[in-house]
Amino acid sequence: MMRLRVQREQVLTKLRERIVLFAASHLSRDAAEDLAQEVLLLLHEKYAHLERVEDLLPLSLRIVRFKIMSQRRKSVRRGEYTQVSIADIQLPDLDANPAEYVERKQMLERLATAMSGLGDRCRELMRLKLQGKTFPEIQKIMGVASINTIYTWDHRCRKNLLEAMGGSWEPPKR
Amino acid sequence: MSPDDIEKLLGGYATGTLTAEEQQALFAAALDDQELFDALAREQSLRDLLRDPAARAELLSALNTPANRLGGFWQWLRRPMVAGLATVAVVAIAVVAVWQVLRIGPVKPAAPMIVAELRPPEQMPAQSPPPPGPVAIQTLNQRRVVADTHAPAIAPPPAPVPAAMPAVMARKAETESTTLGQSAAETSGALKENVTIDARSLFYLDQEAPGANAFVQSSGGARAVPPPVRQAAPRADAAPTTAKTVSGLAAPMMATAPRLGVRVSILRGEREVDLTTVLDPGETVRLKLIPNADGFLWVAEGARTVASATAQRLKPFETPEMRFEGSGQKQLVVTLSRKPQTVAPLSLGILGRGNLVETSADQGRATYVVSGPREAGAQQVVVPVTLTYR
Repeated sequence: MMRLRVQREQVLTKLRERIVLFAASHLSRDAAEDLAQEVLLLLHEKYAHLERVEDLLPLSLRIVRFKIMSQRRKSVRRGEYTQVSIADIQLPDLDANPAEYVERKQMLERLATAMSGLGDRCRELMRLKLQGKTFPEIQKIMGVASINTIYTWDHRCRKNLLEAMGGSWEPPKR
Repeated sequence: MSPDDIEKLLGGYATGTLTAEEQQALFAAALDDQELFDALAREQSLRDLLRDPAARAELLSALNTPANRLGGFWQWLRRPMVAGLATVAVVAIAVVAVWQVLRIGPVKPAAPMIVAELRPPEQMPAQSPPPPGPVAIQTLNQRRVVADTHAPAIAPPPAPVPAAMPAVMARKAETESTTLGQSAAETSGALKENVTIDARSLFYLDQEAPGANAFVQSSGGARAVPPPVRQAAPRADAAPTTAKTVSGLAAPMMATAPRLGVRVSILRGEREVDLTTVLDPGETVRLKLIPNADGFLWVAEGARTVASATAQRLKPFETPEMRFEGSGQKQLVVTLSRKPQTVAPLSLGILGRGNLVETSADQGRATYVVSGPREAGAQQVVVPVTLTYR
């Protein structure tokens, strides 16, 4: 029990370091440290039962993403980048977020278009992945001798897909 | 797993394809590698999207639609190996093209070789043109004489030869003439029985007129000379045909003996007409005589000698003006002899009965009279001439 707790503390320490550096590439240094602190606080208070890195890391990444998006919206809303008259500032809608819905829909459309332009092998590989198959299962289905071949194919297909989408999964920021 | 292999697991993070071991390896590596961590963070948006079953279903349906072949080809074309091979091919083509240009460049085009030359036509000496073909065969004494048994019918003579022709055409005609002449000579035995000969052809057959015609001048295959050139401008396209015809006829005729002949026409002032022309009463006319051999010419009316002269081959000779009173026919006798002699004119009319006579129509109408087959090789020819007055 004690060992798991020590491991958790080590993982969170490394996570904080990575989050700060990642967020610093999108935000200011101070904002990045504040963001990392908020993530760790959330993991400590709300997800204290998670101890493995397989659980903590994806969760922390998701929280980071949401926090960054929220930070951007807040900056726009405050007029930090685009100074507008106070009379023109729209009130935030705290309920369902239509902007997020639109972004998600646009991303889905771009992804579908990009996938339709892939080669047969990549399309088949993506189909199996979306069906929830793991890499070893995909290896058997496609009749490939080595799992590394599947890794290589998937790496290339992901690269092609990302290029087809303009280098980013998310739609370009306006 | 090596760091490179772990990076390849990124594609499975968003779709949830990684096994527990793969996830552990990837996340553990991401905690120590900032770049991998950043890459994972960038994948998070896709992962969040694909967590939605509806979004997955939509993407699966998009994948089930027929593939965009153009996009697939574009992706295939962008593969490193394909792009490299295409680049190598383009470079190779460029190198070959440059090499070809450099190889061909220094070579100078060969100087043009003149194979033919068009020269202006040479003026031939003025002569009375022979008629292109016979119009009728008749004798002065209302007789019709067949040349000989080997030539039962009289064939139309060859068409007139142009006065001059370009060197190219002359060379071509000479070649044809030679070829045809040789082939005709080879088959002369057979042709001898079939070829028809008329007086006009025989008249010119005996001539050796170098320079009169360029077709046979340098040809060894056709000794016979075609009719002399006409003064009028010939048709340009008639030359090869004429040469062919003449040479074809001349070759078998070479075996025949030369015959003396006279081309006779009437001059009404400056206008030349043939002997069948009906003259006006009291009209003054002259006779125009062209012998086909050197010798002596006599023109007599009964016992009276109207004119006489030394004759040269193909040189026209014109009698003094003659005038006859009354109507009807006036009989004259023209004699061409190789040697000077004195023969009673009255008896000469009998000698002309075996002559071959032909009246041809062309620009200068005339009558051709050559000695008959029995007199072939004779030293003289006697031509009775009848002038008809109305």
